[in-house]
Amino acid sequence: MSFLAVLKERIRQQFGPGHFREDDFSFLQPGGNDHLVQFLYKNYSDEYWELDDWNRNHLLLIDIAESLDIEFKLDDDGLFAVLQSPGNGETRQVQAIIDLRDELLAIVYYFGEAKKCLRLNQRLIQSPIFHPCYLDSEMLVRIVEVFERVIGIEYDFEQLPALFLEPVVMKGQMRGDPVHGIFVEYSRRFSSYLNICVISGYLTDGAQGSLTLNGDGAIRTDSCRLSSFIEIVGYVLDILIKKYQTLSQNCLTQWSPLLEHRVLELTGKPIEIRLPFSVEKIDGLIRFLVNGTKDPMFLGISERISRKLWSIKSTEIRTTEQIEFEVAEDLIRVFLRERGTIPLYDKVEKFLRQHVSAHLENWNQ
Amino acid sequence: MFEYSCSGTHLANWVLSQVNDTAGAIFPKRKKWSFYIKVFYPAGSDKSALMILVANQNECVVFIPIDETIDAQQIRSILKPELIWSLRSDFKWASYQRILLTCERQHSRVLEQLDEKNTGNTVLVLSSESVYFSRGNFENPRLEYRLSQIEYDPDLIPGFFPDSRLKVEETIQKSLFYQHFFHGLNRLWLQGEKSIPLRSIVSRSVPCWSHFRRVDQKRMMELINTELETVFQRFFEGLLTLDIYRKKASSQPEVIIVFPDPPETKKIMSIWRRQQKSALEYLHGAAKQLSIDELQLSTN
Repeated sequence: MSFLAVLKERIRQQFGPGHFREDDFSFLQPGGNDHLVQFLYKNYSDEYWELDDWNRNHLLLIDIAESLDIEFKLDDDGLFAVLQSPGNGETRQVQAIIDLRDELLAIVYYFGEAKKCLRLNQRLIQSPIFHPCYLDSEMLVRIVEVFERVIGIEYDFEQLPALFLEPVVMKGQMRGDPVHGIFVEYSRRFSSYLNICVISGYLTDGAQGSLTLNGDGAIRTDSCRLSSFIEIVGYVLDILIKKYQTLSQNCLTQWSPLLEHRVLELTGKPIEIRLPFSVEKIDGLIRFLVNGTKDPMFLGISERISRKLWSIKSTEIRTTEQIEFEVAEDLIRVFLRERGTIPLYDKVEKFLRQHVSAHLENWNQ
Repeated sequence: MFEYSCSGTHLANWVLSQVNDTAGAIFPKRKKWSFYIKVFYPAGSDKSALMILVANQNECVVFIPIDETIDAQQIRSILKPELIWSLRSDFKWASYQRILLTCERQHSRVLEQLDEKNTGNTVLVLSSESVYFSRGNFENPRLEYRLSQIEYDPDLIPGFFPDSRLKVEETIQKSLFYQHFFHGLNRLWLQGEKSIPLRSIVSRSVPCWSHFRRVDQKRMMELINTELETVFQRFFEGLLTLDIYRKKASSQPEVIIVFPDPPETKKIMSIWRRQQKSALEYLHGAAKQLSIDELQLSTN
């Protein structure tokens, strides 16, 4: 059984068999026409990794209940958790199911009225326990392959005057039939400036509904076939799992002592980001990395270490997660030393793609 | 033409940057190369040196960075076969190759010490232009080939291993160490800690801390303590203080760093940030008078 077939089975159990008579069209719509899926990075504290899956997931749900007052109920096997609307007996409705099977990611499927779903999702992604997975512009473009036509894009790129002498701005949104052609042309000609944050389009199955992907790791759709829906969720999930696995397995630079030999072993490497053009005012970039804006807000210090390179060590004020950078005009190295820093890296990458260059050559290439 | 000069940590970091999966690294990770760092005391010396072991399943290449802090006697003992023997007893690799790694400036000094008759000595030199063997080569021809293909820029070597030049008092470019040290303090302050023993934060800031000998640890602690007294007084008046704590009147004094209340306004944070910056500039400048070529090539 595929990854998503298990989920489908689970949803069937929750809603009862009657609901799935017209399997292909009524997958996620017990109460409304809109479907929403959100991909989240599970921001466990380090101690949790010492626990087994069940306990880890259980504690995660307790944390959610405590900080957000939202009570998910963990299934017996500890793989899924269900949130039901308050109420008694017959009127109780399933509001959301979290798929906790992946060790790094959680996938939340929302059911029912669109407004309620969005509101609930907003609360979940603002909690420190979850970090909305960042789908960067280049990932979104890759995902477009599963679309038949692109019918809408939003793009948001604005170089900062603090970093560039003649900042480039390319912001806007387009909807409608001509978008597809324009989108193809734009991504060919302006790859360094086209920072896509939302993209929507029709799927290849000929269904009426369109599907919208959001850079913050959400997929929204109206009346789409189950098969297409599963296809796209699976596609995005693969990309995200690969991303966060690479980050946590290869990009955490850590020293681990091998006690018996009195040596330290080095694992992981920094993320190296090559910019397609140089930052003209390097001071501005350094200032951002020690200071941040609203999100992330840093407390950091910089030090010049060679003719070309600056070393920057910063702590995010809200979470006290720490991140280190080495910066040259066209090169940014990011040292992640702990798993908890991965969400912080996403924020920094988002800043770079929005305000420095929409195209970055990094680990993901 | 200036001779390129850099610290042992920088040399070590160059080696560490070669374990990578990006194209062109000498020791690709996918070929099962891994990296270890070791603090050791060359026989007959009370000063520490670094050793980087790069190994796959069978072979181990032992790099020993030689900078100005490694003296003639230490080099002599590094060259002795005992060094490899002791590794053999500790580890299980089948073959070992020892490579002295040095910068252009220290190069002639190292060559002078090498025994002409002993052809087994291998010296790898980092200059401002390239990395080359001035004696010997890699025993593994594949490594030799990759070395000839590498891209090299001494100004862009990543800082895997934070600077620990505090091990020798005379020649310190301290600011990098203290940057790391303040980085540690920042987190504790933001987390609302009230105080922390100096020893505990130093041991977290100096890599391999527990591998240094007691006397070295003590020397480093004293050095840092004295320096912080000046720095805190000068730049962090009313923010950070050093306090002495004794469990009992007779017990060993423990130096404690006392934090101010956690920051509530952006203003306090920006004062804090500015003071750290000035403290680093001060430590950088007070460390030593820079010679012209260092200004040109390594420090500036």
